[in-house]
Amino acid sequence: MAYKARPGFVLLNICDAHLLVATRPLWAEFPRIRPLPNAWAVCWTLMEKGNTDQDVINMFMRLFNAPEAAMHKRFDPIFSGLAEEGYLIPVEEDAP
Amino acid sequence: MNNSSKQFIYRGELSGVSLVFSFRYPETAKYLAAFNLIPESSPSMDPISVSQQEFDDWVAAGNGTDAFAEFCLLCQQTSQHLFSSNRCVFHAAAIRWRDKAWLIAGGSGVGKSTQCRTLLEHWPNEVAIINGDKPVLECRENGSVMAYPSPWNGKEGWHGAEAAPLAGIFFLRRGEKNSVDMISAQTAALRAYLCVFQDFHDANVITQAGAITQRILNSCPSWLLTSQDVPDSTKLLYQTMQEVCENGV
Repeated sequence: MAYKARPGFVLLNICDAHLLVATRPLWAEFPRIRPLPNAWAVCWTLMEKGNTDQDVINMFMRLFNAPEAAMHKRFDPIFSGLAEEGYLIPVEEDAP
Repeated sequence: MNNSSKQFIYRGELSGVSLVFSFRYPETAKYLAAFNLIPESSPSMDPISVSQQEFDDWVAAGNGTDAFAEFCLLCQQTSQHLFSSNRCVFHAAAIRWRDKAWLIAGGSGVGKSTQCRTLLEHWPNEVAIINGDKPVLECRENGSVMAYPSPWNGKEGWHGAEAAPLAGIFFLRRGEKNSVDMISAQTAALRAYLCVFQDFHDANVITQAGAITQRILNSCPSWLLTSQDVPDSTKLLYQTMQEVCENGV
């Protein structure tokens, strides 16, 4: 399933700490601030620009000159984690 | 509930910045009286005011709507207004010691006032309070930060000391022991960000608050102060300030 970033969050880098901040309308569903590890923050940054998880995998394949399976193994847990917490939503869900 | 559409306009000055407030309740002005409010017939600049939505949220949380509510709610709007002047309202007690400002930061009920009270009891001739709950911080071009008084003094109403350059931040928490540990700006980032008042509605405002937080943290050292009891934890705080002043960080 393809995922994209859920709108309404702002990723901040404060003194190398990555903080995903929820805007007030989302406070009923999300913590105000979710600290993110570095790799998670990189994935989020790419996805909030409109890329899906597969787009990001494709970028990393080119960037690291690595096979797709290796990139999935490395980054799918991040996408799954963000999706389980609700920060990523299925692309189909938003389709008309 | 005051349903009148009449607004009461006042001009005042906070941390050297001229501000215009628009109040729903005329009595709100008395809470900011120390800041030399002058009535205006019409706002001479974009006024700071509390929106209907903020009043509604406040009431939904079980509070009443009156002048004191308006005064409290003005805090975050004022903080956001000050962002463009590289300032913010910061949730902490600001004490003045050896001509420097030191912040004791932490959520409501964690013991900021207890630490202040203990400092005042043990070192009454050395410690003074700039603001007991929500000082204004100014990030200057040279990288330093100044701590100023504000009208939001907390329930004790502690204030009176003059503004001073910020020398350190103690992030206070309760614990099973008394300890003080220096923490990196990275470790302090989340705690510090939550101290910057804002309403979290607008992405630009959220980003501005982040930039100000970074400048504050880069200006001075931070410590995690774990308090089981006073005065022992307060003595650790005092000793830490002393070490910084005498030996540097």
